[in-house]
Amino acid sequence: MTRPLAWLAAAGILVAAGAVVLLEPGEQLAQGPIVVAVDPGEEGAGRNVVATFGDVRMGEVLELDSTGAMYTTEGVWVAVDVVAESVVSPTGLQSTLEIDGKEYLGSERLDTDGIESWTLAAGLPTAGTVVFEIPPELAGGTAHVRLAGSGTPRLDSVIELTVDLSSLEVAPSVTALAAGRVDP
Amino acid sequence: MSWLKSNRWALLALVVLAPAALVVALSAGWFDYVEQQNGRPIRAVAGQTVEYGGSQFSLLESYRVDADTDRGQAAGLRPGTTLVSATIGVTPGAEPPSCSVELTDASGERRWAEATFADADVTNADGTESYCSTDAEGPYRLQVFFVVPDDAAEAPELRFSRLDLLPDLVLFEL
Repeated sequence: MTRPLAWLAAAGILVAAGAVVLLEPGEQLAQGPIVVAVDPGEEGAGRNVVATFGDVRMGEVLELDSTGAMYTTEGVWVAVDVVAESVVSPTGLQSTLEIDGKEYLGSERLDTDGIESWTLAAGLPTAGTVVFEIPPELAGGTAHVRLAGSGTPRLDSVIELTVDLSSLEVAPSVTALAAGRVDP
Repeated sequence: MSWLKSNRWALLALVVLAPAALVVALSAGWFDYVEQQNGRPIRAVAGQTVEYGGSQFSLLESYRVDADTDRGQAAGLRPGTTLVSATIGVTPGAEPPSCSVELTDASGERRWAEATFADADVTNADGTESYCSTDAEGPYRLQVFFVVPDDAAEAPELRFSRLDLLPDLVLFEL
Protein backbone atom coordinates (compact mmCIF):
# COMPACT_ATOMS: atom_id res chain seq x y z
CA MET A 1 0.00 0.00 0.00
CA THR A 2 1.43 3.40 -1.00
CA ARG A 3 1.82 6.11 1.63
CA PRO A 4 -0.91 8.46 0.19
CA LEU A 5 -3.30 5.52 0.01
CA ALA A 6 -2.58 4.60 3.62
CA TRP A 7 -3.31 8.18 4.77
CA LEU A 8 -6.50 8.17 2.73
CA ALA A 9 -7.58 4.89 4.27
CA ALA A 10 -6.83 6.20 7.78
CA ALA A 11 -8.87 9.35 7.09
CA GLY A 12 -11.72 7.23 5.76
CA ILE A 13 -11.69 5.07 8.88
CA LEU A 14 -11.75 8.18 11.09
CA VAL A 15 -14.69 9.62 9.17
CA ALA A 16 -16.53 6.31 9.43
CA ALA A 17 -15.85 6.16 13.18
CA GLY A 18 -17.19 9.70 13.57
CA ALA A 19 -20.32 8.76 11.62
CA VAL A 20 -20.89 5.78 13.90
CA VAL A 21 -20.63 8.02 16.98
CA LEU A 22 -23.07 10.52 15.46
CA LEU A 23 -25.51 7.81 14.45
CA GLU A 24 -25.45 6.13 17.87
CA PRO A 25 -29.07 5.92 19.05
CA GLY A 26 -30.08 8.16 21.94
CA GLU A 27 -31.18 6.73 25.27
CA GLN A 28 -34.86 6.94 24.37
CA LEU A 29 -34.32 5.04 21.13
CA ALA A 30 -31.91 2.55 22.69
CA GLN A 31 -33.93 1.80 25.81
CA GLY A 32 -37.39 3.21 25.24
CA PRO A 33 -40.46 1.10 24.61
CA ILE A 34 -41.41 -0.07 21.14
CA VAL A 35 -44.67 1.67 20.29
CA VAL A 36 -47.44 -0.14 18.45
CA ALA A 37 -49.81 2.63 17.34
CA VAL A 38 -53.41 1.62 16.71
CA ASP A 39 -56.78 3.20 15.93
CA PRO A 40 -59.90 2.55 18.01
CA GLY A 41 -61.15 -0.98 17.38
CA GLU A 42 -57.88 -2.07 15.83
CA GLU A 43 -55.97 -4.86 17.58
CA GLY A 44 -52.41 -4.01 18.58
CA ALA A 45 -50.02 -6.88 19.21
CA GLY A 46 -46.92 -6.42 21.34
CA ARG A 47 -44.39 -8.89 22.72
CA ASN A 48 -46.57 -10.07 25.59
CA VAL A 49 -49.75 -8.00 25.37
CA VAL A 50 -52.44 -7.88 22.70
CA ALA A 51 -54.94 -5.07 23.19
CA THR A 52 -57.80 -3.33 21.45
CA PHE A 53 -59.01 0.13 22.47
CA GLY A 54 -62.72 0.82 22.45
CA ASP A 55 -64.76 3.87 23.35
CA VAL A 56 -63.07 6.94 24.88
CA ARG A 57 -65.09 9.39 26.98
CA MET A 58 -64.63 12.15 29.52
CA GLY A 59 -66.71 13.07 32.53
CA GLU A 60 -66.79 14.89 35.83
CA VAL A 61 -67.86 11.81 37.78
CA LEU A 62 -66.98 8.17 37.15
CA GLU A 63 -69.61 5.51 37.72
CA LEU A 64 -68.84 1.79 37.94
CA ASP A 65 -71.40 -0.15 35.90
CA SER A 66 -71.54 -3.24 38.13
CA THR A 67 -72.17 -1.53 41.48
CA GLY A 68 -73.17 2.02 40.61
CA ALA A 69 -70.35 3.32 42.83
CA MET A 70 -69.52 6.94 42.04
CA TYR A 71 -66.01 8.38 42.00
CA THR A 72 -65.48 12.13 42.07
CA THR A 73 -62.35 13.99 41.03
CA GLU A 74 -60.84 17.45 41.31
CA GLY A 75 -60.06 17.16 37.61
CA VAL A 76 -61.68 15.33 34.71
CA TRP A 77 -62.03 11.59 34.21
CA VAL A 78 -60.84 10.07 30.96
CA ALA A 79 -62.24 6.55 30.54
CA VAL A 80 -61.02 4.20 27.81
CA ASP A 81 -62.53 0.76 27.23
CA VAL A 82 -59.99 -1.94 26.45
CA VAL A 83 -59.87 -5.66 25.74
CA ALA A 84 -56.50 -7.25 26.42
CA GLU A 85 -54.79 -10.59 26.77
CA SER A 86 -51.23 -11.75 27.18
CA VAL A 87 -49.26 -13.49 24.43
CA VAL A 88 -46.81 -15.85 26.10
CA SER A 89 -47.04 -15.65 29.89
CA PRO A 90 -49.29 -14.25 32.61
CA THR A 91 -48.81 -10.53 33.12
CA GLY A 92 -50.49 -7.55 34.67
CA LEU A 93 -51.52 -4.54 32.63
CA GLN A 94 -50.47 -0.96 33.23
CA SER A 95 -51.82 2.11 31.51
CA THR A 96 -50.53 5.64 31.12
CA LEU A 97 -51.92 8.75 29.49
CA GLU A 98 -49.50 11.35 28.16
CA ILE A 99 -50.73 14.79 27.32
CA ASP A 100 -48.86 18.04 26.84
CA GLY A 101 -45.61 16.37 27.95
CA LYS A 102 -47.12 15.19 31.24
CA GLU A 103 -47.73 11.56 32.02
CA TYR A 104 -50.56 10.22 34.19
CA LEU A 105 -50.80 6.68 35.50
CA GLY A 106 -54.06 4.78 35.22
CA SER A 107 -56.13 5.26 38.37
CA GLU A 108 -56.19 2.41 40.88
CA ARG A 109 -59.41 3.64 42.47
CA LEU A 110 -61.49 0.93 40.78
CA ASP A 111 -59.48 -1.57 42.82
CA THR A 112 -60.37 -5.17 41.85
CA ASP A 113 -62.92 -3.92 39.30
CA GLY A 114 -60.12 -2.24 37.38
CA ILE A 115 -58.53 -4.25 34.59
CA GLU A 116 -55.10 -3.31 35.88
CA SER A 117 -55.67 -5.44 38.97
CA TRP A 118 -56.25 -8.51 36.81
CA THR A 119 -53.74 -10.99 35.51
CA LEU A 120 -53.89 -11.24 31.73
CA ALA A 121 -53.76 -14.75 30.28
CA ALA A 122 -52.78 -15.93 26.81
CA GLY A 123 -55.82 -16.52 24.63
CA LEU A 124 -58.25 -15.53 27.41
CA PRO A 125 -59.26 -11.91 26.78
CA THR A 126 -60.12 -9.58 29.64
CA ALA A 127 -62.30 -6.51 29.11
CA GLY A 128 -62.49 -3.42 31.27
CA THR A 129 -61.90 0.30 31.39
CA VAL A 130 -58.69 2.16 32.12
CA VAL A 131 -59.38 5.50 33.78
CA PHE A 132 -57.28 8.60 34.32
CA GLU A 133 -57.74 11.78 36.31
CA ILE A 134 -56.31 14.77 34.44
CA PRO A 135 -56.41 18.52 35.17
CA PRO A 136 -59.38 20.29 33.48
CA GLU A 137 -57.05 22.61 31.57
CA LEU A 138 -55.55 19.60 29.73
CA ALA A 139 -58.92 18.19 28.69
CA GLY A 140 -58.68 19.79 25.23
CA GLY A 141 -55.32 18.45 24.16
CA THR A 142 -54.08 15.45 22.23
CA ALA A 143 -53.59 12.46 24.50
CA HIS A 144 -51.58 9.29 24.01
CA VAL A 145 -53.07 6.36 25.92
CA ARG A 146 -50.60 3.50 26.31
CA LEU A 147 -50.97 -0.06 27.53
CA ALA A 148 -48.08 -2.29 28.54
CA GLY A 149 -47.45 -5.42 30.53
CA SER A 150 -46.50 -5.00 34.15
CA GLY A 151 -42.93 -4.05 34.93
CA THR A 152 -40.77 -1.56 33.16
CA PRO A 153 -41.70 -1.13 29.49
CA ARG A 154 -38.11 -0.34 28.51
CA LEU A 155 -37.27 -2.24 25.33
CA ASP A 156 -40.70 -3.83 25.54
CA SER A 157 -43.75 -3.02 23.47
CA VAL A 158 -46.57 -0.66 24.35
CA ILE A 159 -49.87 -0.38 22.53
CA GLU A 160 -50.75 3.26 21.90
CA LEU A 161 -53.93 5.10 20.97
CA THR A 162 -53.83 8.79 20.13
CA VAL A 163 -56.98 10.72 21.02
CA ASP A 164 -57.93 14.32 20.32
CA LEU A 165 -59.69 15.13 23.58
CA SER A 166 -61.00 18.40 22.14
CA SER A 167 -63.38 16.36 20.02
CA LEU A 168 -64.99 14.89 23.14
CA GLU A 169 -67.46 16.50 25.49
CA VAL A 170 -67.01 16.38 29.24
CA ALA A 171 -70.19 14.64 30.38
CA PRO A 172 -71.55 15.02 33.91
CA SER A 173 -70.94 11.32 34.41
CA VAL A 174 -69.12 8.52 32.57
CA THR A 175 -69.33 4.78 33.08
CA ALA A 176 -66.46 2.41 33.72
CA LEU A 177 -66.91 -1.28 32.93
CA ALA A 178 -66.04 -3.67 35.73
CA ALA A 179 -63.20 -5.86 34.49
CA GLY A 180 -63.89 -9.45 33.60
CA ARG A 181 -62.99 -12.25 31.23
CA VAL A 182 -64.84 -12.33 27.91
CA ASP A 183 -65.24 -15.07 25.33
CA PRO A 184 -62.06 -15.80 23.34
CA MET B 1 -2.22 -5.32 -4.54
CA SER B 2 1.17 -6.33 -3.25
CA TRP B 3 0.11 -5.20 0.26
CA LEU B 4 -2.91 -7.47 0.15
CA LYS B 5 -0.76 -10.28 -1.13
CA SER B 6 1.93 -9.87 1.48
CA ASN B 7 -0.68 -9.68 4.29
CA ARG B 8 -3.04 -12.32 2.97
CA TRP B 9 -2.47 -14.80 5.77
CA ALA B 10 -3.00 -12.18 8.47
CA LEU B 11 -6.18 -10.97 6.73
CA LEU B 12 -7.43 -14.52 6.35
CA ALA B 13 -6.81 -15.14 10.04
CA LEU B 14 -8.73 -11.96 10.84
CA VAL B 15 -11.70 -13.08 8.74
CA VAL B 16 -11.81 -16.38 10.63
CA LEU B 17 -10.88 -15.23 14.11
CA ALA B 18 -13.05 -12.11 14.37
CA PRO B 19 -16.38 -13.98 13.94
CA ALA B 20 -15.04 -16.82 16.11
CA ALA B 21 -14.20 -14.36 18.89
CA LEU B 22 -17.72 -12.90 18.65
CA VAL B 23 -19.31 -16.34 18.84
CA VAL B 24 -17.19 -17.32 21.85
CA ALA B 25 -17.87 -14.04 23.63
CA LEU B 26 -21.64 -14.08 23.08
CA SER B 27 -22.43 -17.78 23.26
CA ALA B 28 -22.16 -18.07 27.05
CA GLY B 29 -24.62 -15.22 27.49
CA TRP B 30 -26.91 -16.66 24.82
CA PHE B 31 -27.04 -20.08 26.47
CA ASP B 32 -27.68 -18.45 29.86
CA TYR B 33 -30.51 -16.47 28.29
CA VAL B 34 -32.09 -19.53 26.67
CA GLU B 35 -31.78 -21.45 29.91
CA GLN B 36 -33.36 -18.58 31.83
CA GLN B 37 -36.24 -18.50 29.36
CA ASN B 38 -36.86 -22.22 29.06
CA GLY B 39 -35.42 -23.52 32.31
CA ARG B 40 -33.49 -26.76 32.70
CA PRO B 41 -36.36 -29.23 32.84
CA ILE B 42 -36.52 -32.65 34.45
CA ARG B 43 -39.26 -34.38 32.42
CA ALA B 44 -41.66 -36.86 33.97
CA VAL B 45 -44.82 -38.72 32.99
CA ALA B 46 -47.75 -39.94 35.08
CA GLY B 47 -46.71 -42.38 37.77
CA GLN B 48 -43.04 -41.45 37.57
CA THR B 49 -41.49 -40.00 40.72
CA VAL B 50 -38.89 -37.28 40.46
CA GLU B 51 -36.71 -35.75 43.14
CA TYR B 52 -36.51 -32.00 43.11
CA GLY B 53 -34.89 -29.92 45.82
CA GLY B 54 -34.84 -32.82 48.26
CA SER B 55 -38.57 -33.59 47.93
CA GLN B 56 -40.30 -36.15 45.76
CA PHE B 57 -43.08 -35.40 43.29
CA SER B 58 -45.22 -37.61 41.10
CA LEU B 59 -48.15 -36.97 38.81
CA LEU B 60 -51.06 -38.99 40.20
CA GLU B 61 -53.94 -37.88 38.00
CA SER B 62 -54.94 -35.31 35.41
CA TYR B 63 -58.08 -34.59 33.46
CA ARG B 64 -59.58 -32.08 31.07
CA VAL B 65 -63.07 -30.62 30.95
CA ASP B 66 -64.45 -29.05 27.77
CA ALA B 67 -66.62 -25.96 28.02
CA ASP B 68 -69.47 -27.55 26.08
CA THR B 69 -69.93 -30.48 28.50
CA ASP B 70 -72.20 -30.52 31.55
CA ARG B 71 -69.15 -30.36 33.83
CA GLY B 72 -67.77 -27.50 31.81
CA GLN B 73 -71.00 -25.54 32.06
CA ALA B 74 -71.22 -26.29 35.78
CA ALA B 75 -67.71 -24.88 36.16
CA GLY B 76 -68.76 -21.74 34.26
CA LEU B 77 -66.21 -22.23 31.49
CA ARG B 78 -66.39 -19.80 28.61
CA PRO B 79 -66.81 -21.19 25.09
CA GLY B 80 -63.46 -22.01 23.54
CA THR B 81 -61.77 -22.75 26.84
CA THR B 82 -60.80 -25.99 28.58
CA LEU B 83 -60.30 -26.73 32.25
CA VAL B 84 -57.19 -28.78 33.02
CA SER B 85 -56.63 -30.31 36.44
CA ALA B 86 -53.61 -32.17 37.76
CA THR B 87 -52.98 -33.88 41.08
CA ILE B 88 -49.40 -34.18 42.26
CA GLY B 89 -48.22 -36.43 45.06
CA VAL B 90 -45.71 -34.59 47.23
CA THR B 91 -43.37 -36.26 49.69
CA PRO B 92 -41.57 -33.40 51.40
CA GLY B 93 -37.92 -33.75 52.29
CA ALA B 94 -36.41 -32.40 55.50
CA GLU B 95 -37.79 -28.97 54.65
CA PRO B 96 -41.31 -28.88 53.09
CA PRO B 97 -40.99 -26.92 49.84
CA SER B 98 -42.90 -23.99 48.48
CA CYS B 99 -43.56 -24.18 44.77
CA SER B 100 -44.89 -22.42 41.71
CA VAL B 101 -47.07 -24.31 39.25
CA GLU B 102 -47.85 -23.20 35.71
CA LEU B 103 -49.22 -24.89 32.62
CA THR B 104 -47.48 -24.67 29.26
CA ASP B 105 -48.75 -25.58 25.84
CA ALA B 106 -47.12 -28.34 23.78
CA SER B 107 -44.60 -25.94 22.29
CA GLY B 108 -43.64 -24.58 25.70
CA GLU B 109 -44.00 -21.06 24.37
CA ARG B 110 -47.19 -20.07 26.21
CA ARG B 111 -47.69 -20.35 29.97
CA TRP B 112 -50.73 -19.99 32.21
CA ALA B 113 -51.04 -19.32 35.91
CA GLU B 114 -53.48 -21.30 38.04
CA ALA B 115 -57.15 -20.57 37.39
CA THR B 116 -58.86 -17.93 39.48
CA PHE B 117 -62.55 -17.46 40.32
CA ALA B 118 -62.77 -15.40 37.12
CA ASP B 119 -61.86 -18.37 34.95
CA ALA B 120 -63.77 -21.25 36.52
CA ASP B 121 -65.78 -22.28 39.53
CA VAL B 122 -63.74 -25.21 40.83
CA THR B 123 -63.33 -26.96 44.15
CA ASN B 124 -60.46 -29.11 45.29
CA ALA B 125 -61.17 -32.81 45.74
CA ASP B 126 -61.38 -34.03 49.32
CA GLY B 127 -58.00 -34.68 50.85
CA THR B 128 -56.05 -32.47 48.44
CA GLU B 129 -54.22 -29.22 49.03
CA SER B 130 -54.38 -26.27 46.67
CA TYR B 131 -50.83 -25.06 47.30
CA CYS B 132 -47.44 -26.42 48.38
CA SER B 133 -47.65 -26.35 52.15
CA THR B 134 -44.38 -25.31 53.78
CA ASP B 135 -45.51 -26.75 57.11
CA ALA B 136 -46.61 -30.17 55.80
CA GLU B 137 -45.67 -32.95 58.19
CA GLY B 138 -45.83 -35.79 55.69
CA PRO B 139 -46.85 -36.73 52.16
CA TYR B 140 -49.85 -34.93 50.69
CA ARG B 141 -51.66 -34.47 47.39
CA LEU B 142 -51.65 -31.16 45.56
CA GLN B 143 -54.47 -30.44 43.10
CA VAL B 144 -54.20 -27.53 40.69
CA PHE B 145 -56.56 -26.13 38.04
CA PHE B 146 -55.93 -24.19 34.86
CA VAL B 147 -58.18 -22.68 32.24
CA VAL B 148 -56.61 -22.44 28.80
CA PRO B 149 -57.80 -21.86 25.23
CA ASP B 150 -58.87 -25.09 23.53
CA ASP B 151 -55.83 -25.09 21.24
CA ALA B 152 -53.52 -25.28 24.27
CA ALA B 153 -55.27 -28.20 25.92
CA GLU B 154 -54.14 -30.95 23.55
CA ALA B 155 -50.75 -31.81 25.03
CA PRO B 156 -50.07 -29.43 27.89
CA GLU B 157 -47.26 -29.80 30.39
CA LEU B 158 -47.28 -28.91 34.06
CA ARG B 159 -44.34 -26.69 34.90
CA PHE B 160 -43.37 -27.18 38.50
CA SER B 161 -40.66 -24.97 39.97
CA ARG B 162 -39.14 -23.39 43.05
CA LEU B 163 -37.70 -19.92 42.76
CA ASP B 164 -34.51 -20.86 44.59
CA LEU B 165 -33.91 -23.86 42.32
CA LEU B 166 -34.41 -22.20 38.94
CA PRO B 167 -33.45 -22.73 36.16
CA ASP B 168 -33.97 -26.36 37.31
CA LEU B 169 -37.66 -27.25 37.10
CA VAL B 170 -39.92 -30.25 36.61
CA LEU B 171 -42.16 -30.73 33.58
CA PHE B 172 -44.97 -33.26 33.89
CA GLU B 173 -46.53 -34.39 30.63
CA LEU B 174 -50.31 -34.40 31.04
